[in-house]
Amino acid sequence: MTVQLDRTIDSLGASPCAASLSDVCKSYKHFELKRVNFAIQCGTVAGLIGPNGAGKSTIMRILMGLVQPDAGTVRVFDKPISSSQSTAKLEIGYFADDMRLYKPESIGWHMQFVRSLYPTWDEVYARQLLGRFGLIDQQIVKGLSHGQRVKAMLLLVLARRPKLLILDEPTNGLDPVAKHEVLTELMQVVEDETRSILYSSHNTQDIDQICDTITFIDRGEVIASNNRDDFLQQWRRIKLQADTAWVPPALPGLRLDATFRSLRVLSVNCFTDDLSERLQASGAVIEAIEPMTLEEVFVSTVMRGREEQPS
Amino acid sequence: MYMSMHSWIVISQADPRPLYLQVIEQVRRRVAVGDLPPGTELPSIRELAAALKVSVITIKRAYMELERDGVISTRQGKGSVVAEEPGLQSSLQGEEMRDHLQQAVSLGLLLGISKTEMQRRISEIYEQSQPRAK
Amino acid sequence: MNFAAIRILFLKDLYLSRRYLFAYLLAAVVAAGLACVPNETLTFIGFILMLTVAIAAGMHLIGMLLLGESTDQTKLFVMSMPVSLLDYAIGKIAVVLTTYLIPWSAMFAFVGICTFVVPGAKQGAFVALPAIFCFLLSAFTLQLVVAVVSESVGWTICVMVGCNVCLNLFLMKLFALPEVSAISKSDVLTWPTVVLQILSIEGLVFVCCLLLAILFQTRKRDLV
Repeated sequence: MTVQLDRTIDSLGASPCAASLSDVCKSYKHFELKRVNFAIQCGTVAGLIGPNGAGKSTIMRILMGLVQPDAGTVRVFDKPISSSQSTAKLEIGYFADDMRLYKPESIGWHMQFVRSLYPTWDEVYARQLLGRFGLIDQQIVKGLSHGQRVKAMLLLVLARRPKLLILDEPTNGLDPVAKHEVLTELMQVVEDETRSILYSSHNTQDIDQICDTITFIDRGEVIASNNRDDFLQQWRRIKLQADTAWVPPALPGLRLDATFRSLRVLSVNCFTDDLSERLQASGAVIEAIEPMTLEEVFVSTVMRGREEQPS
Repeated sequence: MYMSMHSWIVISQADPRPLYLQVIEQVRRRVAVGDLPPGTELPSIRELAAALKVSVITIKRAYMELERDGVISTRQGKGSVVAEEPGLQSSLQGEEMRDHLQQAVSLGLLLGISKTEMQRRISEIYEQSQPRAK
Repeated sequence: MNFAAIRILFLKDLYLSRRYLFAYLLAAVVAAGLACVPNETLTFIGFILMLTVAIAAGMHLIGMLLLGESTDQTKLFVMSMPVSLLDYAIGKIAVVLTTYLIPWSAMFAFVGICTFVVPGAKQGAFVALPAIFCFLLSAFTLQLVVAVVSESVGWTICVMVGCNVCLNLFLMKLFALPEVSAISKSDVLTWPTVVLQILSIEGLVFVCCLLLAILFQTRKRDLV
């Protein structure tokens, strides 16, 4: 089940596409990316959520040209991307949490290295970031804590003011203060409507807060992709009282999550007002209809996807 | 610094309401109380999104609803301002009061409380609140 | 091909390996110095040391600059920069070769000059030197290709050991050749055809391995 991301972003008033994957497939020994269709519009923050091993990192590496797909097209800034081409990377800032810097060298050395490759490097901003992140340019990478290392790498990404930021779990393992510092700087990018962010995370709270569009991935497939609000609008948790003989009506998107004596908890991904009438007509008494958090929607979406295709 | 300009809006993760509603409610509250007089310039959608660290789409929605309710008005290409509406402040104050009362009455009806009982309870609470207000 | 990027990558790796380069250069000069001392035991020790320096430097530089970048995950960082795979491959092979050539040419030059300069040394002894040093160099490029293809320290060491064994056989066979053994004891330096043939084979191996190394490095399209 692949949901295409079409004109959903028109409401954000930005039409050009910063990056896109069309029908991209990639096979590995124990994992396969199947017909991924995915787009990031300019001026938006696109969120990518999925369980571990779902394919988020692979998708991001494919966007960067670090992994070649077996099929499909990848476009960044409206040009096809490949490993033989490096000019697109001048405008992209990539962060992955398995990326490492050179341990014996200092932050300042890395800054100078990146600066030599990027004409867009903003030294004044880089110095500001050093201060805001609490880093010193003479610090040796080997002695940095996890959070400091992440901030150092993000500094190297942010200071060159890329048009597209591809961030693979940037806030993993950061303490709340570090996370606050990082998100503050990331959201500054949003002020410029020509710049975009692709952000993947386990932390649904972050995604919920800062992302304009959300894409769910599980086991190499895009399960759902939509505007953040449209997503959450359609989901509800419904608590009913019903007798043991009651069976939920076979409505698409309606799923029985839990049963306890007379209590039935259902979730639905296409809520309409007449759904509650139909439920009542089926003999149940509605106790409550509640919105769901992104985390609950995420878990429910993945579970449903797995139920449909148990492979 | 850009942060202090918008520190009067606070987004709380502890608040179960959607983020855009929190923004709307806080803007309305500030206008009702008089902190944002008519004609005050509001930050642009992207500026506010960056400052509050929430998605652009959330702020966009909040501004849309505030405009629809007449609390703010957007001038083409020049951003949004608090609406130049005489009586906006008092009407917002009235609306907020009405919303709270509506919630109380709805709950009372659900619990099967009579009108007289509700009025009695309101009087009781009013009396109890008085000394603290001083 | 982005020459500016290649240059930056080249200089970066040169800088990262600066301390080891200095150490190997020092060791190379000491070993070469010993080999040129007019004392049979010391000369012998010097030669063994020179071979050791060449083999150790080769292995270490390949391990640190080439294999290390994958294991340390720094390759991901470098490839997120605006460089293509070809830029990376050329820069990498070039710098690994250059860093090896520094101690290598120091030893070659030192010993070579000594055969002409040191009083009492037989000039003919120089005849075997290019063949030996070029054997070391082509063995190094062979290890380089194996490292690029296998991305494994284990396999590279296997090949290194193999080359080492071959080196000893080669030395034996080389000095068993009547022309070589005759000239190396004489004061006059002449170039027998067999030596020139050996040098051409080594040259061919050298060029092929370098090109193959760049080719295979460029074909690694998947970083993960």
